[in-house]
Amino acid sequence: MATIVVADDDADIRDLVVFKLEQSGHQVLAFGDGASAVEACHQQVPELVLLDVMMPGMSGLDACRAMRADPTLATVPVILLTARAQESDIEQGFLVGADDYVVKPFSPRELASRVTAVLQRSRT
Amino acid sequence: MRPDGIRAQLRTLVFILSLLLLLVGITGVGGVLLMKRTVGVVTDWAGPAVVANHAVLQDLTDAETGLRAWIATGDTAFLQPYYAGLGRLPRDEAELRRFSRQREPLAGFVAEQQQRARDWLDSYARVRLSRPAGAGTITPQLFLVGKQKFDLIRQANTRIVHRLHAWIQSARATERTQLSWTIALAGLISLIGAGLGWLVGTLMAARISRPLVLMQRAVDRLAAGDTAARAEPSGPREVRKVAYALNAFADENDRVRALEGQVVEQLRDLDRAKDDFLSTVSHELRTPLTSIAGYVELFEDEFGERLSPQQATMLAAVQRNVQRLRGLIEDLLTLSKAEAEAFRTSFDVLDLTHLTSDVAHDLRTVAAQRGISISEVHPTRAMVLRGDYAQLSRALLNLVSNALKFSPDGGTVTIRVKQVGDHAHIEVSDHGIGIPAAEMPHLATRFYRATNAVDAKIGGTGLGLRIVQAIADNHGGRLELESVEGEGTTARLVLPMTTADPNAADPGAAGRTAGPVAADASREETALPAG
Repeated sequence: MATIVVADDDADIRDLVVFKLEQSGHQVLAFGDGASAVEACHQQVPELVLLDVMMPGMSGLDACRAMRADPTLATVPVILLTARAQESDIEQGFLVGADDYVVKPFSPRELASRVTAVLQRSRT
Repeated sequence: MRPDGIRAQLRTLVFILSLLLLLVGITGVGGVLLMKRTVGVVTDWAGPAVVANHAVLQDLTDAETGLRAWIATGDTAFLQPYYAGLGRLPRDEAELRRFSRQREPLAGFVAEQQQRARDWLDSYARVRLSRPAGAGTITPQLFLVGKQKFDLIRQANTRIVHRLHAWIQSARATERTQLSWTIALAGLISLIGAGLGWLVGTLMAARISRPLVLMQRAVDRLAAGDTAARAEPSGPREVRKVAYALNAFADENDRVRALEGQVVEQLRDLDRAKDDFLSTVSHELRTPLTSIAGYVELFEDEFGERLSPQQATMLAAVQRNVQRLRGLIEDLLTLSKAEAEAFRTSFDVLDLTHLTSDVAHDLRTVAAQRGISISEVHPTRAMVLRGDYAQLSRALLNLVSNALKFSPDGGTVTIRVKQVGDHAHIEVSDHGIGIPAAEMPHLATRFYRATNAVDAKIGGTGLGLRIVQAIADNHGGRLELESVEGEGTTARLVLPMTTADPNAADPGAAGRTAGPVAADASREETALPAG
């Protein structure tokens, strides 16, 4: 049971993620863009953040960078959702401080287990 | 005057030299003619005049001697030479007059000698003849008169001789002078001619050869790849024309090259646009696919156990096709990536035997599920070449996956690595369904799937071999296929075994659009199922 912030501009995928994570027992706050997600994190620091890379306005990479620049959010784990599987994109994700990434199309089961793994790692 | 052509210039040179030669000839001949005239004065006139003058003196001396002998002896026989001398005298005097006519002062001298001879004859010889002769008849007074008068004749004669000799001397001197002048003049003209000929010849040769040398340099530079090099049109007309032609040729060459560059650039742009399009479309397809696959999974998790058999079959069909779409998008992305990387494949030195072992290891689990064994045959030593490990792994993965897909359960797939000449061969053989010979040429075209594979309901995207083909092209290699329908297929990846960096050349130039090569076209049925 954890508080998770999710940002994805595609409503269907957003609902899918929210459904699966809530089914797994987490409390989920969902947003359609990066800026709102970062804003929400300031209101209440979550235990995990899921960011889609390709979003209009503030992209997932920008949002991740903004969080790492903020001392209160610097240690919150971030998982990137990416439609790109190219090494350079993944590398860039780690460079801005992401903890893990999930490539679209992903299986909800796989996503849930990744979330569990990252949460366990951050709690120890 | 500026002679234009080479022929005109050479003609001018020959004309000038001929003119100088003619001048030398004229000088020589003129000198000789002048000398001949000078010498003619001596031979034709002065010489005979001397002879005639001498004859006159001889006549008179004969007469004087005869007269003196008659006076001394009284013998009239001695008067014979006297009369003979006087007899010849008029003729000889006339001869001498003829030579001296109008030649002063010689004519005066001759007239004087003649007058003195008359004087001697009238005032002495004829007076003495009228007197007796013999011993004791000599009167000293008269004798003295005779002697004086005759001496005067001698003096006059001597004066004529001196005069004539002076003339001969002066003629000889003139002749010598003329000879010297002739020699000097001819020599001088010859020298000027030679010098002028050399100068004009050299200048003309330079005017003809220098533009040729310049043009040759331009040609050399052009041949060396300096496209800006041009010949300077100078010199004779013929050379200028060649230079203009050369420049026109070079201009045309530049134009063609520029056009070629534009076409190549356009083709590259098109290729890039195609790759961008492919990858964008693939990315865009992934987002909805994520939703479809995700919700299908959630649906199955939620309601899977409550579905009727018919509903379960329907859901399985949806899942199967979602999987297929996912594979298609992955393959499309891989292909567009492989083709886009034709110009930037990263080449490292790698060992092929390691690569095949890695791929075989990765696929053994999948193969075991259907009871298929994967065997490896490769030399004990390392097979080293330059290549992109990720790309080559992908190519081999595709080939082995194909072989597994088309093999019957419990079959065998063999991976064989060997060196043939300076190429490495990676062969993947199966004993699967093979492919119809007629479909061979289409195998590495995008989305093409062999009919028997479709009939057998074996899944695939039709991109697998196209990806292998693109990767082979990137490495300057090729893909060869041998297949007998119903018996099996061998796919062979042929790669150049060079440890030199192939990025120095263009690894993509090996023919990206070329299809796979049928290694043994004489065999009746050769084909491979595409995946």
